[in-house]
Amino acid sequence: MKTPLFLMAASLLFWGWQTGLWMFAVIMAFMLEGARFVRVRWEFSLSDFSRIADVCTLIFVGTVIYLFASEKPARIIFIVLQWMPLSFFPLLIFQEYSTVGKVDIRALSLILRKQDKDRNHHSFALDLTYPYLGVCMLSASAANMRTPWFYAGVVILSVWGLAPVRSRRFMPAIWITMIILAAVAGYIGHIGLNRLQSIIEQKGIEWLADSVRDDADPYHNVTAIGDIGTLKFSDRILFRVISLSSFPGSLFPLLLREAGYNMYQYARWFAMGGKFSEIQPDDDKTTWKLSPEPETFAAIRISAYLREGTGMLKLPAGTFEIEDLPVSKMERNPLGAVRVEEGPGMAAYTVRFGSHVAFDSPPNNSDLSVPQREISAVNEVIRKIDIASKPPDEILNSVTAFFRNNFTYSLTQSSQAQGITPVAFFLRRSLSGHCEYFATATVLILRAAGIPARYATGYLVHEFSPFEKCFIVRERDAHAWVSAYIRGEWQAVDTTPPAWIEMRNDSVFPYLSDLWSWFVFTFSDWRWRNGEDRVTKHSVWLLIPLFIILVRRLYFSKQVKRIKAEKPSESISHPVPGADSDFYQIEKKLGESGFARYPWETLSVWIKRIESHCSPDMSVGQLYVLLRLHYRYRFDPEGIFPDERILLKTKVQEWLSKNESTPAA
Amino acid sequence: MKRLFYLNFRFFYVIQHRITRRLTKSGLLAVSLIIVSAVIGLDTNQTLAYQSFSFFSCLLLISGIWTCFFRGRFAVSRILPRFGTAGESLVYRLVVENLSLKIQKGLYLFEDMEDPRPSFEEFADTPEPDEDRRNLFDQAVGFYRWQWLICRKQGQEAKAWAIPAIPVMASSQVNIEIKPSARGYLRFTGITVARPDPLGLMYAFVRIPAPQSLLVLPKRYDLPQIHLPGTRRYHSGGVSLTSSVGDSEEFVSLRDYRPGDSLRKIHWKSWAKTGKPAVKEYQDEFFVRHALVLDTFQQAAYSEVFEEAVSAAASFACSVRTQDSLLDLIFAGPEAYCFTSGRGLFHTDKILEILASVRVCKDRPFGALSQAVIGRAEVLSGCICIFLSWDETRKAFIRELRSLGVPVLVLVITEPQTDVSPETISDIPENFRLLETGRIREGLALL
Repeated sequence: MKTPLFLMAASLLFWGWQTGLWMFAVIMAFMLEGARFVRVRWEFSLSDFSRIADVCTLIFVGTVIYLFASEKPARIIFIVLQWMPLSFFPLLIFQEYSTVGKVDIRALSLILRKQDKDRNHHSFALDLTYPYLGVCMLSASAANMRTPWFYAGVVILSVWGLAPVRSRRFMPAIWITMIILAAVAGYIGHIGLNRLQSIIEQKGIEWLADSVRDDADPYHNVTAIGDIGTLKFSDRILFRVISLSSFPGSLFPLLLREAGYNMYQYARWFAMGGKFSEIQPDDDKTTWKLSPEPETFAAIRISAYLREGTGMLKLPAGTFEIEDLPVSKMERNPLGAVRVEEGPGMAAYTVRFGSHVAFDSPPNNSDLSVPQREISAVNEVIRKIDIASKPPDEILNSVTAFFRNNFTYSLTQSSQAQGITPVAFFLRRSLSGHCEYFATATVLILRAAGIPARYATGYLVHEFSPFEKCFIVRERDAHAWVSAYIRGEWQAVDTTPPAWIEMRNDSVFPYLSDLWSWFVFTFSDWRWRNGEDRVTKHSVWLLIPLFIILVRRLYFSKQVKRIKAEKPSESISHPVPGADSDFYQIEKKLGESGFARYPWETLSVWIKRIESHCSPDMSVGQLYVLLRLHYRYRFDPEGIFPDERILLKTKVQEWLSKNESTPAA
Repeated sequence: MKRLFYLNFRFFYVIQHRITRRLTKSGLLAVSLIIVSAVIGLDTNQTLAYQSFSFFSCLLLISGIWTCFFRGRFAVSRILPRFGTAGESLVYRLVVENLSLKIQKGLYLFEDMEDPRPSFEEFADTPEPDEDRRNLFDQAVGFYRWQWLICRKQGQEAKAWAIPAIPVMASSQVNIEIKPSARGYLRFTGITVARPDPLGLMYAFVRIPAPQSLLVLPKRYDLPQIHLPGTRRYHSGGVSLTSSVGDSEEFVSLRDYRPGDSLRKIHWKSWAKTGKPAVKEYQDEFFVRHALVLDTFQQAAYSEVFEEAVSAAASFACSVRTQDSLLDLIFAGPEAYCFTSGRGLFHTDKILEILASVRVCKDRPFGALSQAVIGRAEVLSGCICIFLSWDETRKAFIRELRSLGVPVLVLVITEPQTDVSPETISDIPENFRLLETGRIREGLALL
C-alpha cells in the first residue's frame, strides 16, 4: 500500500462516522490495514481482477435496484453515494492482497476489455487507494451531517494524503502555511457557496414568479393563510400613478382595488355571482363610463402593463369614469372587478373617482355569511370586544382598535394550527399574520356583527418617486383589505397594522432595478402611446439600415477589385551620387566623335579601348587622371573634397575646350 | 462535419495536453475530486460535497499561484544514439546545467516533441487499422482514428523524469528511456524543466528549446540462414559500376575499338591523341546480386500490412550477407528507386535509414515497379519480393521474372485469415510464403 500508515483506515472510519455505517467501516478498516501486517499475497490475473470488478458493479447495480424498490426516488442517489465504498471495497481489498498491488485499467472497463480482445492496446496499472480515499470523502459528504467536523475531517484526510507527495524542495513550514491558507480559504469559500445558493434560489424564485405573475383571478383567490414559512415580495415596479388633482397629498396613500370576493372557504376567497357584464364605451372608443358623475371627484392617471392587451384594471373605490383606454372590450362584475381585453401592451389611462358612487353591487346575503368552522372564533372576538348590536361606526372603530392593539404584522408563520382553522389560530393564539389574515378576519367579524363586508385585493399607492415624479407601485405593495357596507355605501376598511409597509421594504439593489424599470417603462410608454404598437408600425423603417448594411456587405465581399497595371513613372528619379559629374560631358563628346561606349563597358575599359584609336592630339591619356577623380566622386562613399570637385570641373572644361575642334581620329 | 470533429479534437487535445502536463498525479486526482464534488454538491443543502469542492479548489488555486514564481535558468544538451528501433526501448542521456545561483533540486523534466496533431487532410485520409470493424458512429466521428494518429505520431509516451539535484553552475545527467512506437523521424523540439509546488499538485515550467531528431528504424525480425536462389552473374564494370554511377576503379587497359563496343566505353582522349578510336577495358566480374523488391502500392496512407512488409524488408536487408554479394532494394515512391548495398558500396544501415522513411505509393500503378525490376533482370541472381497483396498484376510480374530466368522468393503479407491461393507458382511452393500480420516472426522463421 502506497498510502501513509492508517490513512485508509481513518478515511473508512470517517466515512462510517458520517454515514452511520460504523460496523462496516471498522471491519473494512481492519481488513485494509491488515494488508500491511499480513505477508501472504495472492497472484491475481487480469481476468481475476475483471471478475472482481464485475462483482463490484453488480453489487453497485443491485444496491441501486434495492434502494429504488424500497426508498423514495429522490433520496436514492444520496444513499447510493453513501454506500459506494461498500460496493467497491472488494476490488480494493483484492488489490491490496495481490502481488502486483495495482489493478490493470482494462479490468475496470468493459470497453477497454473489448478493445483489448480486438487488438493490442496500451494499458497501465492503477493504484486504487487514493481514488478510493476520494470516494470515501464524497460518500461521507452524501450523509449531509451538517457539522463543522465534516470539513475538518476532509482537511485532515487530505493533508494526511498529501504529506507524502509534498515537494522536498521547500521547507515544511511553507507547506504547512499553504495548507492552513487553503483550509481557511476553503472554509470561507464553502460558507460563501452555501450563501450564494440561497441568494440564487431566492432570486430565481422571484424571477420565475415575476415572469409568470398574472393579474388577480376575479373569481377565485388563493390566500397564503395557513401556510408555514415566510412570504417573499419582489421590488418589481408594476405600475405608476400620477395625480391629476389639485391637492394630491390628500389622495394618497390610496388603495387601488383589483378584485373583490364575497365567500370564504378553507383559506380561499371566491366571487359568488361575480359574472362579468360588458360596458359600452363612448363615441371616442376610449372613454368608459361606469357610473353617473358625482358632484366632487378626483382624477389620477395610471400607467400599467397589460399582458397581451388583457388584464384587470387597478381602480380606486368610487371610480365612475375611465378615459384614454383604447381597449376593445371592458367588463365589470358586481364585486367591483373591471377586466379589459384586446388593448395595448401598456396603457396609460385616466381614472375619475369620487365619493357616493355606486360602483359595486348592493350587499346581499352572501356578504353576511360566516363559514360554520369560523363562527366560534369570530363570536369569541365579538364577545371580547363587545360589539354586538352596536352602531356600525362604533363596530368599525372597535374592530380596528382590536387589531391595532392586540395584533402584530408578520410575514412569517412558524407554527401551524392543529385542530382549528388558520383564522381561529390567528385570532386566538398567534395574534400575528399578514394582510390576508387581517382582512379575512375583519370581514368575518364584521359579517358576524351584522355589517355586510367583502374581501378586496389590490395595491396600496404610497411611494412617491422623486426621480420619476410619480407614485410607483411595486409588487410588494400588494395588499388585501375589507369593503364594508356602511351608511349605504361600500367603504374601504384596512385593519392591517401600518407597520406592514416598512416590513416589506427589504430590497437589496433598489436603485439599479428601479432605473432599469424606468428604462423599460419609458420605452413601453413610447411604444404604446395612443394605443398602437410603434415598434411593429415602424419596424419596417428599421429594415432600411439593415438592408443598406446587407447590400454594402454583399457588394464589398463580392467586389472584384480592378488592378490597373501602372506604368512605371518616368519622372521617378533616384538621386545617384556623382550623376552630375562633368566627366559625362567627355563621354558624350567622344561618343559624338564615334567612340561611343558600349553598354557593358566600364569607363576605364572604354578609354583603354579607344586610346589607341584616337589621335594623339586628343590626349586621351589625361583622361585616366580625370577618370580616377570621377570614380571617387561617383562611387566613394565619402565623396571628394570641394576643391577636387572644382578641379574635376575645370580639367574637364579644359579638355573639352582643347579638343573642341580636334578631329577624333 | 468531419472538419468540425477535427477542430474539436485539435482543441481538446491542447487542453488535455496542457492539463496533464501542468498537473502532477496528485493534482489530477484533486481536479477529479473537484469535478465530482461539484456535480454531487451542486445543491449545497443536500450534500456536503461542496465543502470538499471548496477546499480542493483552494488548494489548487494556491498551487497555481505558486507556479507563477519559478525563475530557474538552465542549459540542456541531449546525447542521442544514431538510431532507435520501433517498438524497442531506447536509452539516451540528457545533461542539464544549472545556470542560476541556487541549488536546483526536486525538479523534473519533460521532453517536448513536435506537435503530433495530424493535419485535416491526414486525418481525413488515414483510416485507423480495422476501422471498418468499428460501429458507424465511431467511424463517422473518428475519435479512435484521432487517438491512433496521435499515438502513432507522438512516438513516445510523455513522462516526467526526475532530475538529480544540480549544484550551482554545475550539471547533472538524466538517463531517459523511451520506446518509439513507429518508424520514421522522432523530432524533439525542446526540454521543459518542471518544478512542483510545495503541495505537489502543479508544475511550474521553464522551457528550453533543443531541437533534435532521431531516426527510428523499422522493427526487424530474426531470420534463419537464408540460401537465396540464383547464381553469380556477369557484371560489366565490376562492383563500382554496379550502382551505375561513378568511375571504375577496376580499369584494366585500353584497346582498339571493335564494332559493337558501347559508345560509353570509348576513351575520347586516346582517340584525339592517336587519331583512332580506343575503348576502355574493365576487369570482368561475376558475383551474386539480389533484388529486394518492396511493394508500396496501396491506397491507405497507413496499414499494418505495409508496416510489416517494411519490417520484413528491413529484416532481409540486415540478414542477407552482403560481403560477397549485392542487394538492390527496389521500391516505388514518386518514382521507382533502387539502392544497392553490399561489397562496400552502401552499408546496411543506409538501407535501414531508407526503409525507416519509406511511404506508400498511392498514385502510381504497380507497373512502375515491375518495369524497374525487369529492366535489371539480366544482372539479378535472384529476387525477394515482398508484396502487400497477391493480385493478377503481381502474379504476371512474377511470371515474367521467372520467364527471364530469375529465381524468386515471394512473401505476401496479409491480414489474418485472408484467402490467398498461390496457384500461379504452384511449381515453387517452397518459394512462396504467406505471412499474416501478428505472426510474421513465425512465418519468417520457417523460411
